[in-house]
Amino acid sequence: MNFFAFATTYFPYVARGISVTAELTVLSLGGSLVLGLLGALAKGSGRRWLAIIATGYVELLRGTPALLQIFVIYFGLASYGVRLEPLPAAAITLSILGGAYVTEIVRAGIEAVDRGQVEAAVSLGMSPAAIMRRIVLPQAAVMMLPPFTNYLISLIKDTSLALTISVPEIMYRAYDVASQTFRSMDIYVVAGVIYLAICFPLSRLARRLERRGGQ
Amino acid sequence: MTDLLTIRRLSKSFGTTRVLDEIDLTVARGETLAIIGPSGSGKSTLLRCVNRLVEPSGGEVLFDGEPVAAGPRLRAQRARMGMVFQHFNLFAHMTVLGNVIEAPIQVLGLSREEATARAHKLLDRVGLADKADSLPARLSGGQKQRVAIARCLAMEPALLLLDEITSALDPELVGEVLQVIRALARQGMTMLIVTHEMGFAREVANRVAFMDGGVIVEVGPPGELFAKPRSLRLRRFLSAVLDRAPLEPTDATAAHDDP
Repeated sequence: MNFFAFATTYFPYVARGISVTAELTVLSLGGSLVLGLLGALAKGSGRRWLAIIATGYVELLRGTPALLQIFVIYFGLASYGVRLEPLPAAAITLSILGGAYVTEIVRAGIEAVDRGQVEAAVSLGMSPAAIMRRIVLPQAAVMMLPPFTNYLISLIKDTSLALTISVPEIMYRAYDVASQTFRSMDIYVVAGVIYLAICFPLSRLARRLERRGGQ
Repeated sequence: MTDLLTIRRLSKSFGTTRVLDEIDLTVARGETLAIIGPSGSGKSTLLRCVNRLVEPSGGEVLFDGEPVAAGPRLRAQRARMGMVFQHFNLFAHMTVLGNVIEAPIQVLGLSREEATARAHKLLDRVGLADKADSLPARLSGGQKQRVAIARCLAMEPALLLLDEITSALDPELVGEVLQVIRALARQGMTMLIVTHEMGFAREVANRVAFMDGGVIVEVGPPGELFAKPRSLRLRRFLSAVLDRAPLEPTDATAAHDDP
């Protein structure tokens, strides 16, 4: 069987993993957004102990491998009687890890907003909530978009780590085919094309956003 | 009591540096008071302590008879004290109109229609009626500053705090901004102005205060203060800023000019 015959035969099987990869990505994205906003709020709250907790969280998650974190959540917690299904375990891990990255993205975006505009809003008598909603966040969001898109790309690629705890996403299915057909190169090329087809447009988008933001 | 603003024994220290040292100052209703003095004398800090952008270390500020202090009334007090900044501080993501209607809608609770009508009148008054839909980035410095003034006036403030509002402008743009302030002074707006424009201070202010080293050295009508400075410090300051003669080329630089 030549490559194209092989690829057309097994592509549908691997491609069925797209929905699992997508589900894992969406769940992790939602979780990391919530944790990231909380983290950024904690860092910017001006309360020392909240800032220390948030900083510890960010550094702990950024300073350890994602694979180790998945194993801790899935296998580690199981040995303490907390048995999670593979998909939720992976989603929780990637949410916690992503939350650390999003914390930094949001914080950097908020800090990049001109302090003078905040002072002007304060001097006009606007409330802190209104200043955040009307002045800071709209401008911070524009600055956050490029790094956020880059984070989304690395999240999509990181979902492949869920293979190690048997979540049937793209990479798991490719690995499965490889172990049955022994045609590793061919099937991983197929999987690679799928990832590339998802991530390449996003990476172009990030480039465009960066260029627009630089003006 | 006709004083709109009373500053009593106001002090501010940053670490061990005393920036303001027991300042006493009053601004009467309808009065324009200009504060002059060398850089680092505490002028801007004094202004920023009035609306609590900077928290003073001691003393008090009374606005319309009521203390300005952290608490539930502070926002309402700030809304009645407009501040114009050296670097304009316009909301960069909003149009000129958006800048002017924002606080009236958010703080005063005006409807969008009311705020827009008010904004158009004010933009007309500062000569920018045709710029309502422009973004701040497309304006010149002088235009930006006039938008910032309109943004303040939209709150119908009782007091304006002007913090070196022409210092960041190209020289040819200073005039258009000062003209707006001159008109406000004529209309009886109460203003506290920190400025480096001596000619403007002399012309528009009812009284001038000279600050140096965190204290007010002299206060008086501009005619007196500029013509007959009592303190040595003010005499030195005035001679430094007023007698700024164009520098003569020295022998050394002249030699370089020779090919």
